[in-house]
Amino acid sequence: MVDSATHPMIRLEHVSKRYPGTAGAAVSDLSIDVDAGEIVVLVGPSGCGKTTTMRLINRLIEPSGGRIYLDGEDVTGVNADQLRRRVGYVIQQVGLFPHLTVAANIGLIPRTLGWDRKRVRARVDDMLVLVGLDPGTFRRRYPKQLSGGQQQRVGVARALAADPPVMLMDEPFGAIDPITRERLQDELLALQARIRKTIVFVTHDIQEAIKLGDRIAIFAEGGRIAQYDTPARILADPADEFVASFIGSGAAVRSLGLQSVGELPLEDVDVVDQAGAGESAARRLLVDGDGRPARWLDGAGSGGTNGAVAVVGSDASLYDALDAMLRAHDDVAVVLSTEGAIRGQLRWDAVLHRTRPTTSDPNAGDLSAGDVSGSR
Amino acid sequence: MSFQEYLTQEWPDILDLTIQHAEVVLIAVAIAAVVGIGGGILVEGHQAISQAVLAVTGTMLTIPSFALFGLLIPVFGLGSTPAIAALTLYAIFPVLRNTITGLESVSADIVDAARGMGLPGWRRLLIVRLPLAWPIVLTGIRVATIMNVGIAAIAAAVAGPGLGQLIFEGLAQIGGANALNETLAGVLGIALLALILDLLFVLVSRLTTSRGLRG
Repeated sequence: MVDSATHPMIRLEHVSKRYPGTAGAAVSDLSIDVDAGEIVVLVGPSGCGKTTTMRLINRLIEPSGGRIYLDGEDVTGVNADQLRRRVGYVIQQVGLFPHLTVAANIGLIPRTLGWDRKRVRARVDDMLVLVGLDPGTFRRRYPKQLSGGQQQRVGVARALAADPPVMLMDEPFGAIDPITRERLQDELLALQARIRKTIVFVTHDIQEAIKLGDRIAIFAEGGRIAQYDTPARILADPADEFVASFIGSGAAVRSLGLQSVGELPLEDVDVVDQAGAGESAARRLLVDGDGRPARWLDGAGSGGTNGAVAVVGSDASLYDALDAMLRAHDDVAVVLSTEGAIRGQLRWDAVLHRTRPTTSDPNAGDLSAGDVSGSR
Repeated sequence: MSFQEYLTQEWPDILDLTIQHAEVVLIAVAIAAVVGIGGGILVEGHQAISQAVLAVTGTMLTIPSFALFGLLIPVFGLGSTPAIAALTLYAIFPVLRNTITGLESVSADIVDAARGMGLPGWRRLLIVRLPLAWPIVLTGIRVATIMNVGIAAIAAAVAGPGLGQLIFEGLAQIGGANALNETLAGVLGIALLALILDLLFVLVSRLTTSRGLRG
């Protein structure tokens, strides 16, 4: 085993695919690295080569040129079936085998790998529990007896049955109603938090990409990657016109939903309890007996609010913080820790500053508290 | 002699002939099933080859059965062998055609999923594609069987076994005693046998088709 810290889990190196008799290549000279444990979403308009790229990874499509590495090993020439058993695969129409029970579907690859009956059975039950289906209820069912969402979950369970380090998901939620899709997305994220697989996810839905991706590769026509970065940075700083138009309007607002209040440096709050609530030049926060924010005591010269306090948790998104400020008609939100203690305050300006493209890099965008308080 | 009296007197012979008839048909269909399914698996996916094979085997159906039985005498002589050979040739086409159709009808997504999971070609065929194609393949075998029950009557022309003997005997001595009874017994026996075999296929189909595929 090679040390996984030194190489990406998946590496495509100058990979191309051209079909005989066609002018342009489906994918040309494409290189991409996917690190262990991250979700990378390939997104783009139809015909952009995102599905082709995914299928090159498990060699359902053989590349015309370039190398493919899995966990540091060059798999361009190895037995494709053996490669595929190390790579879970989930497709849009689920692809469950209708003539096999749920248990037989999930246990198929373990049995192919020669596991004994007992081990397969135990694994099937584990997988069902993992995706939130009761083994006793679902083991013996046939795919047609399941709802779309349940089929999708069984599809994921089947892909994970042989414990592959990598999972490929080709528009898995494409044919599912929006409400169920939303829930399956949440479940996938919760599942991923536990299993930490390397996931490559194909979709044409930029919203889904933003929600699920640790990183997003935006494909343009001709199998070219227009931008490969975190959702926050793509929204804040699209690489070109194509990316900007693909992510659509409202990108800046959406990017607020991706950053939590806790990621920003907070200012100290000037807190007083009832006893010390005398006149002062500065604006102070009055707290009740439990130490919770009650209202602002406006000092001389401060903006006229009627004392309402915008309060957010530190795990809330910047979007939530701005929302709270707007509702309180104030430009400051008080940030509470998960235990309810006051951690500090966040200013409207700090959020504005944060979303400016030049400060989109989390390291470059390090706002010092003094900087902001000086503006007041 | 009335038909009823004839039956009462001759039923052991008629039953014997019916069993012979069924035997010839089922042996021929069994051989044809192996050849047809095997051939279908081999040629499926090769567009040009499968079209050619279907055309050739389809043409065989257009050869009048009386002529085919006759043509096989120089090769196989008289009796059961030419009968089974001819019936096999007739039965191959429906089985072959339905095997190809059945395998082609398996959804591309399912096959893609099987490939993507790393199931090798032969396992894909045995675990996924054939079971999914099976209801259609079985229909082909059923059609071949019913068709052959009728065609097998002509086998009597080459001294083959079965109910055809009653029909040919009856027709040869038309106007004579029992001529009509013999012919009628042969014809009704064939119809009844076809019905029984058809019902048998309904049962086989239920037993061999996955619950997940039944409507």
